[in-house]
Formats: sequence, structure tokens, C-alpha cells
Amino acid sequence: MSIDLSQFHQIFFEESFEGLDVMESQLLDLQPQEVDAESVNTIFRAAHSIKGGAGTFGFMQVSEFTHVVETLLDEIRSGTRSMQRNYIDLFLQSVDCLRAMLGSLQSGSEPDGERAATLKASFEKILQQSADSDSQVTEEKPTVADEGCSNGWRITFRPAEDILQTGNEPFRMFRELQELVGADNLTVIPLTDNLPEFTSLHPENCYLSWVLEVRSDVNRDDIAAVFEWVADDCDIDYQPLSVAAAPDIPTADTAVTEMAESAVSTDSTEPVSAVIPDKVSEALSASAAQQAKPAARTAGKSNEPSSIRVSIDKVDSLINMVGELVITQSMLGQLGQDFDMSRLARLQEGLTQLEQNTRELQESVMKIRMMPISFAFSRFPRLVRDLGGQLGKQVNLVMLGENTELDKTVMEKIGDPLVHLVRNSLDHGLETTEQRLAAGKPGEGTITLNAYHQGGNIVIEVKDDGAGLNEERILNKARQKGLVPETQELSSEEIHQLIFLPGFSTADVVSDISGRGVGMDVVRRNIAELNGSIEVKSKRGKGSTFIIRLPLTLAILDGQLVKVKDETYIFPLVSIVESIQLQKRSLNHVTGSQYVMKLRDEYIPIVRLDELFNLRASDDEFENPMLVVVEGDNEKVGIVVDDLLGQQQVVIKSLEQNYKRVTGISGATILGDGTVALIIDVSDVGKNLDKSAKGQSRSDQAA
Amino acid sequence: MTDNVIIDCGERLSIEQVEKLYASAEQALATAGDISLVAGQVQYCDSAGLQLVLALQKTLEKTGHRIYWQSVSDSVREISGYLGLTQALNLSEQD
Repeated sequence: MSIDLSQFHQIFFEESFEGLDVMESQLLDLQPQEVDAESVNTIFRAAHSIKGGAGTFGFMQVSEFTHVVETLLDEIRSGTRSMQRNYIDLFLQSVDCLRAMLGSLQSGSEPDGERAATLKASFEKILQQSADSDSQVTEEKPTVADEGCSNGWRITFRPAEDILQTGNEPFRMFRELQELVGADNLTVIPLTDNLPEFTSLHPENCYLSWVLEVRSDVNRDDIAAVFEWVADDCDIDYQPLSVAAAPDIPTADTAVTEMAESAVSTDSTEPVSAVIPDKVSEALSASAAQQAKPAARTAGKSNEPSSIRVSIDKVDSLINMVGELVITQSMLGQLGQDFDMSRLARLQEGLTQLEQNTRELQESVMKIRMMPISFAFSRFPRLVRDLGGQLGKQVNLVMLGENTELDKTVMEKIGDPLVHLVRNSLDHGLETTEQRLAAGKPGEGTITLNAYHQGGNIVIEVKDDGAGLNEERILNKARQKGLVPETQELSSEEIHQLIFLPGFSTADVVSDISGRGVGMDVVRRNIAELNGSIEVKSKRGKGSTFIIRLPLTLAILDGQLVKVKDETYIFPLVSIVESIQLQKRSLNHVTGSQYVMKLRDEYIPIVRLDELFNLRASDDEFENPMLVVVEGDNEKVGIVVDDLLGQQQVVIKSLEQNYKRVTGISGATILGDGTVALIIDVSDVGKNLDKSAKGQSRSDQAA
Repeated sequence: MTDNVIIDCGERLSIEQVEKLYASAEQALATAGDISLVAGQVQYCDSAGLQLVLALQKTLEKTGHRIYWQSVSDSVREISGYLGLTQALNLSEQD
């Protein structure tokens, strides 16, 4: 029976990416002069798991590349070699390389072998340097490894107590070792000293240890490779056979004696050596099936685009809620069987309970999608380290509120805008060390990432203690580009908003990092797509703070229901600036069919939803129209509707997935009475305005 | 001859069955003298299964009893061989 390993690819990729994150984070914390052994072990284990997994799934490029990384790590953790700054840089480059390779494999394309080969050569060069220095030592005093190679090895293998529960079967390792060295060259001696009384035995624990004698000139590394999966958890000692007669290591003979004495009756003089069977395929296939079961349970469907790890508490909470729901449903069902008006109060009570259960269930399900923002923040220590080095700036990154949770989808989409902001803070916000010192500031700049919940939203702040926005320069640039009339004076806040306009950049030099002016408007647009907002607060000489506000989830929306003709539409509440009674006399005709309305000091383009969606005959006019003023893409738009209905949370259903994309509509929902209501895409509606109306609006606003 | 309890190892003498087998063996220890193991049908065995038998044997020996193998499958022999337990489990006595 063969197992389709591709079903486990997705979970391998996810675990590998997590492993790379761990490696990266530990590497960034490493100080070459005082290396923490546990950190190196953690990095090694992560690399080791990726290598093993890649080998299992046949991703040999990844496996082979990780092997050299792991070898250098192994030398460092064993104390053979000390950590150096250039090693850390090389390891970090390896993390990037592996991430790219795995990304390519995940998307079904071929990994970049050239990049891996270059890095691999660098590792091999370092490893070779070690071999050279080792050979110099050998001239003075032969190493244990060289002595042992000619005669063989005595391996004392004391497994971790839980080794059997983790599926790491000793017999499989011994079988592999036997395949490596040949049946005649291996003696397996069991040590039973730790085997307890039967009544004290926990049968799933491993109490046995083994001494394995290898009489072959096999390399120690080749033997160690057999045990590599368990090396971290087990006590494994390698001694060359010629020097292995340490008093605490039982020899084969003593073990034989011990075991022979323990037997009540044995006339056999056969030594306790491994009986090497010729045919083990049956046992192998059975063991393979055994191994595959737990993996199959966790892997799920192979075609899942992504998965999410959920804490058991959240699942338990969900199960509790479902239990409550079932009880309420049962109660209502019973009530419905013999209902009369005398039980009306009971029915109402049951319905209230049902509503509460449903709400709690919804909250519990939503919590499942919530992840700590540390997943998005985790990339920044590396980013700041690398860019800081590239720009020659000393930067201290402070991350606060890393456990603040938000929806997984929001998390995935906010990553890139955050990167833009942090890069901008580094490149433009923070001054050089010299400039800072000259300004009386500490040489090291600080970038602070902070996340917290506020009023049903998540707020993410990107703050720097740099030079702050140069308002004069921004305004001059805006005037040069004709975005602001020469005569117009703007407040500080209004000047700060200009940086979000498309193509706006005051950077003197267009660098790799930022300065092309394509950043901040994209940031704003991406955040707007998440139904969020961004603002900037800045003080010259003190620094800038970008404040992003996002909904906790994209699955549920706080909506304003409106009526247009006989249809119900929903506006995202967050987009609504105000709602007013529309005064026809305040409408001005601009061009074609486009109207604008003067609202206090500004002119706002007007959109009629009935016209946009062809809901009304030409002779059928609004009676008492309402105007909903919304803001999308930093533009205000007035949308004419027949009536304002209530406000409620709605569950968003994708129109694209269920039907097709419709201009001006971002999704749909099903209301309490079962009717479908469309959710208005405020930005999209704004884009369909007559360009001249938008221009009129802006210039009037400026004037 | 004292009471001889027969324990059938079934088709799997492995970690997922050891708790069940442990319970049977514990019961047998309380009542029996020698214990006979039927392992001719074992299709798969592993370290946990063989370790259980070894612990049972050591405990029996202390009371002057022992394990008799009524039958032994190839799988039991193979894995015992890999683990170096053939002699300790008295499997070399078997044909």
C-alpha cells in the first residue's frame, strides 16, 4: 500500500515557514560573543525538521541545502566552532533562501537553484576551513574520530522515555544502521537495567537502552545520520571501539552474561547479536502505515489554500456554545409541539435564549479566526536589522501589544502596508546617527510598533522618534505638482494628509527602500480595502506616528441599511460621514448628468444609486430623498437614497464567489427576513463619478 | 504444574495494543504461574510490545515462573532480532 504524500505537503510548508520564522527570530537575538546554547539548539532543531521533512517529501534541493546549514549549526552547538557575526548573516540569508525555495515549491514552481548553490558554496567553504584546522590538530594528537574509523564504533543509545510515543522506533534505526554497515558488522546489545517491575511499568514508555557495536570503518557522521531524528531527545554516545572500554559501558560479553542469567532456561550459546532478517517489507509497510495515521489526522485536505491553528480552549468554547444551542433548540421544539397562548412568555424567553446562543456562537467562531498580531510583527526585527545596516542607521525596534488579536485575513493583508510604513520610517523618518547626535538626540533611533483594541477596532501604530514630516517641503512639493493652489494655506493636519496622494514623494533620492512616491497612497488604498483608515501625526524634530484603524474581522460588517426604490442596500457604517435630508435647491449641475452639492464649506459630488443600478423609470422621482455622505479613498461622495432604515451587523457574503463582480458592490448579505441586500462599495461608487465633478469638488474644497 | 494462563497477542504486539495487553498480563500475573503467549498471528510488533513481554518475563522469573511461547510469528522474530532481544525473550528456543 502506498501513501500519497502530497496530501501532507501543505502542513509541511506551514510548519517549515513557522520553523524559518523561529530560526530568524533566534538568529536576530544571537550575540556572537555570548551565544546562548538553547538558542542555537532551537535554530538547529528548526533546520533539522525542515531538512527531514523536505527529504521525506522528496524536495531534495531544500533537503540538501539545509544539510550544509545544519552541519555548520551542529558544529557550533557542539562547541567545535564558535559563532561569528558573518555566520549569523549567512544563516539569515539561508532563511531567506529557504523561504523562497519553499514558496516556489508551494506554488508548484521550481526553486531558485542558483541562489541556493551560491550560499551552499559559502557554507562548504566555511566547513572546509574547519576540516583544514582539524587536520592540523590531528598531527599533534590523533582525534577520537580518526582512531575509531578504522575499527568501528560502540554506540550507547539511551532513548528518551517517550520515544515510542513519538513514533521513533528503535528497531527502524537499528535496521537502517544494519543496512549501512552490513549485517555481519553489527551487534545489538539490549540493556535492561531500567526496566521496572511489571506492576510499575508504563507500557508506552521506553525503559530499554542499547549498546550497538559497529565493526566497520564507517564514518561517525554517517552513523549519526541514522539517529538524527532523535539526537536531540536521546542520550547517544559514540566511542571508537579501540578506546571504548570505559568502565561504565557494558561490553557485549557482560550484557550477554546479564541476559543469560536473567533467563530461566537457556541452553543456547548463541551470542546476543542482531538476527538480521532477510525480509522485512511486511513490518516496514505496517510501520509506515502506523506513522501515517497521526499525520493524516492533522493534515486535512491537501487542496486547502491555508489552514489555521486553533487553541483547544477556543474549540472547547465553541463546543459549549453548540451544546447550549442544542438545548435551546430542543426546548423550543418541545414548546412548538403543543403550543398554546398561555405559553407565549415561555416561547419569547426561548427565542431570547436562542438569540443569545447564536450571538455567542458567532463570537466563538470569530475568535477561531483571531490570531495574535505577533505573526505580522515577527518580520520586522529582521527588516529593521537589515535596512538599518544598509542605511548605516542605528535602530532600536520596540514591539508592543504583540498578543493583540485580529482576524487572520486582515492580518495577512495588513502585512505589506506595515512593511511600507516601517521602511518609510527607517528611510525618511529616522535621521542618520550624526544628524541625531547633532540634534541632541540619542544616536540610536527608535521605531515602535504598537497594537491595541479600541472600540471594536484594532489600532496599529507605527511610531518613530525621527525628524518628523517637513511640512514646508511637503507643501512646496504639492504646490509644484499643482495639488494645492499657491495662495491656499493649509493646516498641519491637511499638509500631513498630502503624503497619501498618489505619486507624492518628497524624497531627494529614490532608493531601494522608498522614495518613489508609490508607497503611501498604496498603503492607504490597501487599508481602505480592509474597511480601515490611516492617519498620521507628526511633530517636526520629534517624530511621526502612523495610526491604522482596522475592523477586527472582514466577515462581519457594521452596516447602515438604506432603501432605494424597493431594494435594500447596506453602507459600511465606518464610511458614513453624515446623513442629511437632501435639499434639491442646494444641488448644482456641473457637467453632463453630474451634480454636486454644497455642504457647508465644500462641494460634494452626488451619486444616485437608483440611476447607478437602473432602479427607477425616468419619470419616477424621489419624494423626500436622503443624502448619505460617505468617504472613500479620501474623497467625500453624497449618495442619494429613498430612506434610512436601521443599523445592524451583517455577515458578508462574497458576490464574486457566488455570482460575479458588480461595479459599486462589495458583497451581499442575507437579512433577517431572508431577503438579500447588497453592500455598497463606497470607493468604487466614487470612482464612477464624472472626473470633472471630482475636480470641481477638490478645487472648491481648496478654495 | 501450576495454573498456566494463555494470552493471545492477536495480530499486533505493538504500542497501540500494549495497554490492553498489559491489563491481560496483570490479571494473569495475579492468578497464574506460567504464562503462555500465542504470538503466531502477530503481523506487526514493535519495541513497546516486546518490552512489555520482557518486563512480564522478568517479573515471572522472580516467582520461579516463566513465559512459554506457544507460537511465534516471523514479525516477532524479525523485530526481536533488530532489537537484540531474541535471547532475552527466549525466542531462540523456538523453532
